[in-house]
Formats: sequence, structure tokens, C-alpha cells
Amino acid sequence: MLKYLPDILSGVVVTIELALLIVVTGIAAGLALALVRSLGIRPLNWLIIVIVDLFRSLPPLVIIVLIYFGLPSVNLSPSGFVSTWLSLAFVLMAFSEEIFWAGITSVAKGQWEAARSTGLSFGQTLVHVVLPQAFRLTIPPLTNRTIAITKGTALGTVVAVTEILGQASSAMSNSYNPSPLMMGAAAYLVLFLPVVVAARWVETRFAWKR
Amino acid sequence: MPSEIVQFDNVHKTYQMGLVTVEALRDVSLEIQAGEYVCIMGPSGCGKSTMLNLLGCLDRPTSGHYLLGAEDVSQMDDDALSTVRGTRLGFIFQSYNLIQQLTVVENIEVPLYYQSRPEEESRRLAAQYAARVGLENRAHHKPFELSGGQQQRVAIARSIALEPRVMLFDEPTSALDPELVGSVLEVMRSLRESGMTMIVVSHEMGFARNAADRVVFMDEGAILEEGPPAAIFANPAHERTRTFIGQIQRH
Repeated sequence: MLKYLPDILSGVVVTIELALLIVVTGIAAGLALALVRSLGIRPLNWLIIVIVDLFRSLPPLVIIVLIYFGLPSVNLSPSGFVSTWLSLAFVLMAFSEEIFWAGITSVAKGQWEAARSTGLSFGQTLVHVVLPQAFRLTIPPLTNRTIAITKGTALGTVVAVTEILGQASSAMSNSYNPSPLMMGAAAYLVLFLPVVVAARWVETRFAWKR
Repeated sequence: MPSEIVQFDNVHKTYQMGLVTVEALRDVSLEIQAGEYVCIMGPSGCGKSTMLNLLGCLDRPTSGHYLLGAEDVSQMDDDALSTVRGTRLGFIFQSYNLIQQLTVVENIEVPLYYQSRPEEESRRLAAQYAARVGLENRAHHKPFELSGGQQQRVAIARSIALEPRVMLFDEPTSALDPELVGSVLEVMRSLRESGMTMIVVSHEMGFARNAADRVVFMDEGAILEEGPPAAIFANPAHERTRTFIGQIQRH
């Protein structure tokens, strides 16, 4: 069985690359949308809501398949890797936008008023006063969502991404033996369990003291 | 200190609430001299908070003019208003609105930081103003470790550290337990003695009687009557004022 270990390990590398890309771009895009939404420009807000609701409703696998098999018809041929990355990044963007937005709106109006009354501009108030308080509230739901969506990298198998599950399944087909799948499952645990534990630590670290 | 005068000329403020237009202020004219202490009173919904928000440049009049010093601030853009708020006006809210993660001095420092002062000077000023409101021993405490009265004093320190010309107070003691009110009023009294122009929405009648130069009584978005506290409290000209004063005295 050990001869499949290098394949599984290369799958781990692909999964890590994919996961990091999704987390960084998805959360950054979600935050950017939430910030644009806080400007309160109505047509833009409607557009944001439509996009966000779309990506929150569609199953991630459907989005992956749409991008991978649909885009070639408009002469774009993203690889399986890119399709999976884009799909899950869009989904994470949509959920994280909602989470950031909820965080921003839950900061008391008085915080805005007090900051503005001491001469801070809209932007300074947002960055220095509102966002730091909003982030604390967003950490638990955000870490949860991020983990849930990032695990979806396994869906990449469907479009031939050689991540952990892809490697494990082909090893299984080649060896007529389910053990590589167990190795794959173990690899996911090794990868995501520390993330889950770290998320728990971050949540307690940033919890409100009252 | 230059003689800064607050002047409202025929100020109107309307809000659109769905299909209904609410007239929050109707044709209000008011003049306040530098160093004056004016107390605004009136029943709930009479427009006193709207008035204070306009005075604090947190909102603009729908029509009419607001002269602060000799400058018309009623039509300024947002950036210019931010500067006015940061350099000439201080605003104290009913809820202290401190940043919970920051200590007393850090809270006082935030606006100073944005006035591009050197960090050391901001820090020194923040400590100095914390002491000014009697919180030198609490300088490194966080808001949740302080009483309501202490938190309100931090809010006052945060405002006066910017050396405003006019201080506005929107029911500064209404959220406080009775035994904590005194410490906040004490700070306000010392501000008054330093010659600060103060406009206070408050129902602390005893304090208004002793400290205020003038009481402005509002009802339904307009100024009903104004005058020295002794005259207004003892001998109000309007029935509305009389019943209101009667009610707050009873409680």
C-alpha cells in the first residue's frame, strides 16, 4: 500500500494549494463586497444581494460542473483546478459577505455617531472603529463556513483534479483495495483537524470580555 | 479664545419615513453666545435630539442656515463637516459609545490619532484628559470594568481632548444610576467654570437651575419659550411648559 503514499501526498499538496487559494480569495472578495455594501449605494446593493443569494443557493458541485463544462461553450476552458477554485471561492465569497455584513450592521449605531462626532471620516470610522468590532462577531461563523466550504475541495475529483480524494480513488481502482481511501481520509483529518482546533482557539481568543 | 457664536436661522428639518414626511424641526431660530450654558428641555419627540444632531453637524438642516462662528456649516460637504466636528464641536451621547476592546486612554487617543499628532503627544494628552475627569487610576482599564458614570466621563474626556469650542450633551445622565449622576455633573460643572460653551439636553432640573444661563423649552419641533431657568421654572408662560415642568418635578 505504501507505494500509493507519494500519490496521496501529492494530493495533499494540491488540496492545500486549492484550499489556501479558496480561503484567501473567497474571504477577500466577501469582505470587499460587504464594504461596498456599507456605502449604501442602492443599485449596487441590489446587485450584490442577487450575486450573493445566487451562490448561496446553488450547490457547489453544480457551480463546479457549470464552470468546467459550461464555459468552454464561450471559448473559455478553465482547468479542473481553476473551476474548483473559482466555484468554491464564489461560494465562500457569498457566505462571508453575508457574515461580514451581519457583523458590520450589528455594531451599535452609537459607535458610528461617536466616531463621526469626534471628527473621523466615514472611511476612518469604518476601518478603525466599526470593522475591528465587527470582526470579533464574525470570527465564529466565518471559521465555521470557511472550514465547511474548503472541505469541498474534494468535489474537484469530479472534474479530474488530482487532490486527495482523486488520488485515493485512482489508487483504489489500480489496487482493487479500499485502503488508499482510508489513507485519503486520514490525510483529510491530518489537514483539517488542526485547522478546526486552531479555529476554536481563535474563537475563544477573540471572544468578548464583559 | 475667539468668541464663537452658534446661530440657527429659520432651520427646518424634515425626515421621510416611507410615504410620511415628518417635520422634526419647524422654523427654529436660536443664538448662543460664547461661554453660555444652554439647557434644552421638552417632551419626548419635541425635536430636541434632532436639534442637537444638527448643532453637532451629525446631520444637515433641510432648509435654513447654521452659522458656527462666522461660518455657514449648513451646506458643507462631508469632509469639511468631519473637520468641523473634530476641531470645534464635542458631542456626548446618552450611551457612552466607547470602544469595548480599548482601554480608557486608548479610547481618548483614537480621535487624537486622526488629527495627525505625534503618537507620544496623543498618549500624553489622553492621560492628561483622563486625569482631568478624575480617572487617572483607571487609565488602563477597559470600559466593561468601569461604572456607567466613569464611562460617561471617558466619553467627555475623549471629546474635550480635541479642545472643542462648543460641547453638546444629549441626555448625558439619563442612562445612569442615580448615585452615579453626581460625578458626571461634577465634570460638567468644572467644564462650565472653564468657560466652555455648553448646550445640554437634560431633565436634571436642579442642575439646570444652578448651572444654566438659559433654558430653551421645545414642543412639536419648535421653540415654545426660553429664558433664565429661574423664570422658566417658576413662571412658565405656556401651559405646555407648566405641565411638563410639573411632571418632571413630581418624579
